[in-house]
Amino acid sequence: MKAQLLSNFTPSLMPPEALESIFVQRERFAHRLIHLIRDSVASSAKQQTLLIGPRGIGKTHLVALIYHRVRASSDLEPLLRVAWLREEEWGVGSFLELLLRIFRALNAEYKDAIDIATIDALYTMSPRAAEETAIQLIKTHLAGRTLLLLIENLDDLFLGLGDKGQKHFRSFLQENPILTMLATSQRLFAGVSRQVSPFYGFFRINHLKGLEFTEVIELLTKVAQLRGDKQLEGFITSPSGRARVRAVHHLAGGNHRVYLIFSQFLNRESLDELIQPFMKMLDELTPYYQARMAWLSIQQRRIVEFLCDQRGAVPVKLIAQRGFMTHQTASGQLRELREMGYVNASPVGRGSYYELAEPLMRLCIEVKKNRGEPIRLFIDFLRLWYSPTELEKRLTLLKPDWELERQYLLSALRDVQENPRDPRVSACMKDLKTAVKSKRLPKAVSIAQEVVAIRSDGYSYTLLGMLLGASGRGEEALDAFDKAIKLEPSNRSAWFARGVVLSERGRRSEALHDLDVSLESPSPFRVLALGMKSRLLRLEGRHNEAIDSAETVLKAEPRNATALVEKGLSLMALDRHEEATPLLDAALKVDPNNAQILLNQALLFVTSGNVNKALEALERAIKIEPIAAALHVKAAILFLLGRNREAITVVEEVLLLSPEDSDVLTLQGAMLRIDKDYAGALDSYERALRITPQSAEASFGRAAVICVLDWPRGVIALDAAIMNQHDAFEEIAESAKDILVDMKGAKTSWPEKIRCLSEIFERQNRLPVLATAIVRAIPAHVHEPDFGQWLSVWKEISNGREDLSLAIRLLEASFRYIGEEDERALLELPVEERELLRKVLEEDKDRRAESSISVESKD
Amino acid sequence: MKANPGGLLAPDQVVGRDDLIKDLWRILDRQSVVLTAERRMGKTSIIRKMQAELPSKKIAYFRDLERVHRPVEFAEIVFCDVEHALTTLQRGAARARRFLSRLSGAELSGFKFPDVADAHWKVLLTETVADLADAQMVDLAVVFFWDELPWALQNIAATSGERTAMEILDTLRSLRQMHPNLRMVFTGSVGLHHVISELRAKGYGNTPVNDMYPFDVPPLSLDGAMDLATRLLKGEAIKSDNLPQTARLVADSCNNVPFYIQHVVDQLKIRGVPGTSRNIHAIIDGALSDPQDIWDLRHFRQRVDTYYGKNASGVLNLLDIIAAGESALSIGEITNRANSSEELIEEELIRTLLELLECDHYLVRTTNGMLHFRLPLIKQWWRLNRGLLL
Repeated sequence: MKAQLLSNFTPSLMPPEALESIFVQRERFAHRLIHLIRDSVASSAKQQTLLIGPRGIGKTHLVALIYHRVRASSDLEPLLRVAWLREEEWGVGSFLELLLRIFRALNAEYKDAIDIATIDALYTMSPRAAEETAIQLIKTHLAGRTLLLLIENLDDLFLGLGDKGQKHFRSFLQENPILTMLATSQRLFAGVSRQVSPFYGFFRINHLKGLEFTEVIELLTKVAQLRGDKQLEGFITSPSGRARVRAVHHLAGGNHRVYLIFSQFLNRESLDELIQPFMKMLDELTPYYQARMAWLSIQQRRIVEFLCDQRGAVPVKLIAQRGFMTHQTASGQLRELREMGYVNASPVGRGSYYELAEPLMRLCIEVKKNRGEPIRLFIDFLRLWYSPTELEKRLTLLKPDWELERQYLLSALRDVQENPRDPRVSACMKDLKTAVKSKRLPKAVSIAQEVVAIRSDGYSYTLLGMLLGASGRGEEALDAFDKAIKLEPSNRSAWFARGVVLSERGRRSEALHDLDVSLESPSPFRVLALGMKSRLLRLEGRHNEAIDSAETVLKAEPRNATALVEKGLSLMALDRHEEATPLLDAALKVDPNNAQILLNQALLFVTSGNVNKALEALERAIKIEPIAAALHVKAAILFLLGRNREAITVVEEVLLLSPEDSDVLTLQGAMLRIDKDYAGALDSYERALRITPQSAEASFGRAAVICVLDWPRGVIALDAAIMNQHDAFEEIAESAKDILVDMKGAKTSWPEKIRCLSEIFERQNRLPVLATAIVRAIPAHVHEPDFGQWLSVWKEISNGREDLSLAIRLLEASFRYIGEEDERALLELPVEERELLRKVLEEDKDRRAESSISVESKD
Repeated sequence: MKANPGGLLAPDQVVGRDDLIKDLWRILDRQSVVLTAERRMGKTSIIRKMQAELPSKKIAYFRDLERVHRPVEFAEIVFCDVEHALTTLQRGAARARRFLSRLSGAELSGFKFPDVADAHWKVLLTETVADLADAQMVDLAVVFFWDELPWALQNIAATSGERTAMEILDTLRSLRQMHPNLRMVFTGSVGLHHVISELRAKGYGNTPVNDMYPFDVPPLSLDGAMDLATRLLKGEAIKSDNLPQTARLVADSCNNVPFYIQHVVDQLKIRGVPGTSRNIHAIIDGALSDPQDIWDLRHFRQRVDTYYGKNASGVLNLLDIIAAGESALSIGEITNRANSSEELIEEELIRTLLELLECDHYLVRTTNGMLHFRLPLIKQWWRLNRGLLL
């Protein structure tokens, strides 16, 4: 390990490389400060910056870093002089004395910058004359350069200067724009914050924030690297290392210095390695916290002491009561304490709960209060450091004569029994809640992994699984749930959550099993589980069971929207549309802005033929949430209504939302084919097939389009498709019908083509399907002048092919009915054939659309 | 141009004040000026710019007087500046020097008065200014920009008694009347009217500045504020899809107050975010509710106690009423609402307090006599701070 000077209390003593190497969080800010100094050097505008933050927050580190960076800038050297008034500049009682300190700092920085004899002469003058001469001296020395004055503990300096000194200082600054300041203070103080103070509003004030957890990890990693401590570096990134760092974070409240102190024994495992550094740390920190207490008013000290005695946050009422104060006084004092960084407030309802911002302060004050009995605090610390299992393990390993350690461990274990909440888990859960609230799931997963590292129980694994599931890491989630269930087979939450993830992954029967197990005994998820079960059963086609499950929910919660919808959808699937309608209406009353329910309502309207109402419902749904399924159905309805151009536009919107939806691509293919954009249609079908190679609709759609573009290739594609999808009656029939329709107007080539088609269908034993296609193509051909020839060629082909005889009869009847306007042609047909033909002739458009819209519910 | 909220600005960085400065010079051609403004409006920057960019036939001296605690220190400062002015004419402040020699028995070297001069500050001040008159500087006006004069008067009242502070004000008035080419510009963070009120309470009956033109510095014009915002956004390289639009948004949202504009751009820079409407409003909302009070807004509440003493609770009530109103209110409406609470305030007192609140830049009066907060931002902050938001 490298020996490196890493000063916990005096960063100004550290070499610049060390300062740079462990600098975190404030790079952008440091850059900005340098920028402001440059700006002050370049013009007569002078920037004055004051950094505010409690001890240990990194003020001196930042100032030292800026100092080194400025001194290392060769371009600034001829234009700037730097005077750094150190932390311990006590005893400055007037502006003149401040000037003398500046001279001293300049002389220390630039050998003999100001003649010592001249400075000595100032002591022989009257204060007023000496001040005037000193001002001239500094101006002469600067000779047009700018002075960068670095001042630490400006509050102390101002206290010494007093009102008079501050006014002299400010007058000097106002009349002589030659000086830029970077100052620090542990708190806002009257000298800058009171409106009547000379320096009110003079500084650009920056409150330095504590470290966030990720920044802590970065800092500790850098510290480990600086020390060459590979073990520590590796430990920090492991889940148990991160959990321990989080425990420190809980204690340190973001204070840089505390992390530096802790970093020295973060990866120590044995008790004896831990106790000594821990106590030493408290010893080092105690004067600091005592000093912080000394700054407070009596009332504020009383509040802080009371909060030290508490182990959690407490309401103002209790603080006021215990401090013998009015509520108003306590609120006022707490507000000041909060502004000074002593306490944190968490709003609860209309009030607030307060706790110490730095739990270490509690520990340090407790040490002093219970002199010689540091058991309580060390027990807390042990509980933060070790899991209950680790505590037990360590107890068994103790040598018989290690009585003190045994006492600590036993007390810690007793505390675990009395108060089983693990403070480390509490710290994790606090951060986890924040991460989930701010939708930072990767961070939440990482914290949950730490919880698992601390406490490998069913609850922790379930929590991790849920977060992994929500992050889309389904397989890892299932793995976590498996572990949770193995550890705690009766953990209903784990069963339920695994059921959810399984259902999301399409493993419905397994999901149903898990949900059933979760329902074996009461759990908070019961209603959710039943709702989900109803949905899965519906998707499995077990509609009656789905209805039963939904009804169980509705008995307990008659206005449960999910159950109302699920029951409605199952009823729809059972063609009980009239029963389904009021259920969906009721669901919408409960949840009027649920786009999914509106979508299903639209489908119900489609089923009952009320297309306009369906479109209205879809518009509402899309307005609430532009879900792809709603747009898909809208496109299909527009297609059905013959509004093909609009439909194409909507389909493009759907594909923006879900570009990999093969059903939508297939629908787009059909639309583009109708629009005679055959190349576009072919592209859509082929994209659909790349996603779902088994799609019959896309295969036959593709074949029909190729038939237009390149007949020989098209026939081969059709032949192959029939072979692969032999049972797809509807898709084959539609494709063949499209091919027949596309022959319209092809003056000479069609007789050959339909002969070729019939050969394929005969060879594939699918002539009945071809017959359906011939009938469906009647409306396209019946008004054509060559319909007579169309009929005679088909009659010729059908010779000896019984499967085509019905189609030929209907062709002949159509010819007579439409071409010769002979009403008898229809009447001579058997009634069922007559109705079939009438339907074909009148409802071709509707039938085509029906084939496009699935009336299955949309999920 | 870099953002510099609260810091010292170079004269060329004082943007959007050219017309106001021209007006001030026009006024100074005929009389002296009491320059008033809410803190943060840029008074000091304006007078520093005036001093740095003097028109012809003017000599000007800028002094920050807050360090003055004794009247002789003030006389010494004036002496120093008059000597400097006369040096340009190869002269010196002969009368004053003669008087000092008589006092101390020795010739003055440098500018520091001997201790014996303490009791004779008034003669010294008068003689020093008379030296200026003797120089017969025809068509050449000497302007003294005295920043923080109210503070100096308070310091003097504390160390030498209120009577001495009163004498200073009277002496300065008499000097202005005796010397037609002498001009003074008084400014300060604390309103001069408060200092005079304090002196009145101790028996002072004069009106020491009624010969001076009271000039109130308003926020920037929209064009001026946009110009400032544009320069800062450019100077700090803040990303923006539409710079003029962003500059307008910053200017508007900051009520055209230069200090707030500087702060918003500074924060955009520190946070490293582009100048979008969302980011700008987030900064302003954050500043209004910031527990650390980064915009120094809390003084609007705190100074009520200092300025209004026993009337503080009445003033708070009046400000609450006006802040809670959606639009401007008439004095009658304010009186009715004020007296609907448990503590009755006399109508005449309400009128007086409202006038003082105007002088202290909380309120402005519309042409039809309605009153509202001078800056919408302060109204919003007042509502937040006083819990008046529903």
